[in-house]
Amino acid sequence: MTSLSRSPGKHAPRAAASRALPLAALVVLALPGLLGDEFLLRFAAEVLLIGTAVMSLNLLIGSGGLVSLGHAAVFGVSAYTAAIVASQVDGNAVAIVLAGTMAGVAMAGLMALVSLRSSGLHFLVMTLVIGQMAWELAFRWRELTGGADGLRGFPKLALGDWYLDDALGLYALAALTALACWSLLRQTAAAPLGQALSGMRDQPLRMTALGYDLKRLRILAFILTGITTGAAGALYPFVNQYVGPNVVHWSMSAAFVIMAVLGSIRSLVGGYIGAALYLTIQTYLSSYTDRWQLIIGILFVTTVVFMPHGIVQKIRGGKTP
Amino acid sequence: MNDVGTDASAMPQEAAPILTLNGVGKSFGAVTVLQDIDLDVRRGETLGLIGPNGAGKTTLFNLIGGLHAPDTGRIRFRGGDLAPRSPAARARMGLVRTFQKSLVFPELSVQDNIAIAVRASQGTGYSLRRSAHVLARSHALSLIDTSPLKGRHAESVSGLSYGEQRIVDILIALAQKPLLLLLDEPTAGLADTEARTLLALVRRQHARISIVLISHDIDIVFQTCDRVAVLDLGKLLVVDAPRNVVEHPAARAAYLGQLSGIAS
Repeated sequence: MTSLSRSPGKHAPRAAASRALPLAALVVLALPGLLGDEFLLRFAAEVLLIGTAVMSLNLLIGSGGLVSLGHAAVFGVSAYTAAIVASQVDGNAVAIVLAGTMAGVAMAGLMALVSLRSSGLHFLVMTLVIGQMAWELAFRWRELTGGADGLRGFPKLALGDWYLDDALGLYALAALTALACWSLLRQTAAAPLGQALSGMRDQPLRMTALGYDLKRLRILAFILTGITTGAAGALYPFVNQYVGPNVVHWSMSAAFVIMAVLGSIRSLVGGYIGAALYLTIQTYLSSYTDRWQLIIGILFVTTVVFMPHGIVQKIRGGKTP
Repeated sequence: MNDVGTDASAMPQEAAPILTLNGVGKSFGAVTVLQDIDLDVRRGETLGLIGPNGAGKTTLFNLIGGLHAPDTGRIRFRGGDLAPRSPAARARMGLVRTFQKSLVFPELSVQDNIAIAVRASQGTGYSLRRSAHVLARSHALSLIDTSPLKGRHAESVSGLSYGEQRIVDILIALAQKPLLLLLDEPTAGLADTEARTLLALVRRQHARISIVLISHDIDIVFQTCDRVAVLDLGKLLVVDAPRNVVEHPAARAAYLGQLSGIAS
């Protein structure tokens, strides 16, 4: 039941496959915890946080084909907000996640309102421009954001007296956040709202004739995106106790889109698979070669040619539902 | 053109018309598509809308449905001016339309196609609660069971034949609880028996809704409609009971005369 457009109760084999996927995801979630390696745990936390952002981008793409090139702005603004708020609240994790989520909703809401009348190429450019405005702010507003240097030295995450400065604590929090966001979007996909969102993608004219307010649907999709991307973005600075303007830059948004296509834009879990693949190549292969982006490129082309609907859809049995 | 629509012998003249068009006109650039249209749709009647290709029939639907705004004139639905209402708002008021092409949701089952419309009329379309599904789906099922698609609710719509998809298309519109139903060539491409089944379905479901039917199938129009309106080159030639329209010289010249052996 992870597909954005799945209707309840049909096709037993597919249902079994989609039940197996979350299970596999749980096993994968538990693995870094069992292995206990500090670097691996931090890397896995990063995959989960970025993967959550990609998953919510999938929701947008699955709702009327809204391919955003400003998604990093939602993620990055939440990250900056979290890092800045951290100093005010002594690293209180609950307050930080709340503040980051609210910042994410605000940024996504702004993006929704500004791009409300656009679609296709115009939507893409509009989100790109808003994203670059956010980057400009992060890059130029030195007093608040540290400019090109970014922010360091903010307090570490804490829950009461329990400091989450070790990798395991951070990983656990990232996993918890990812699970919460995933179940929110899964719930959405299975609820009337999810069907209305995919209806908006497939038959916008009919949806209007049915009395659905497409603008309202679009804003709701953006808000859900803001909640999930915001929550994940809020924890992101604590992976390396650093946040810099790159995380708001449009190239980060482009990387999100690539991860989404790699994993499968029609699946929630696909967001995590795409993020894991991309970040693994970036993190591990980049120590052997500077040309890791070439490998990403080849992988991307291969995916698009041989698995046009992404890796997860391929595992599920080929074509889109 | 008010004078042409006054033969009320076919229908009892009851309450105010459900839809009123006064002096409605529309141009696209230099092309005048509709000109000074005055038309009433009475409560409970089936009004046929016929005319040659390019006469402006679908444009008229687009104006009533709100996809385009008229350049001149006024459209009232249940007494209220429609001008400030969006297409979605009009649909929520009970002004429901179908399109020349079946607009179904190919990835969903027959039942979920109908349920998405049921939820729209129940106001639960944006809900995050799965329980809203259950109610809408059972409602959808009871509607499907009255149609030729009975027992096939779980099938994916993309696997249905063209004619079956048209039935889904109509069921979606009926699930919206229309007060006025605008049907744009619902029987195009269907065999005669299929077409009759489809229209019987509409009538059986909702004996008291008003219907405007665009169709090129003159036999069906003349047999099922209470009144017929003939549109040609953007002008309304006549609105009258079928037997009077057949005798109408301008209508014959413009459209009916081209068709041999009709409604004798």
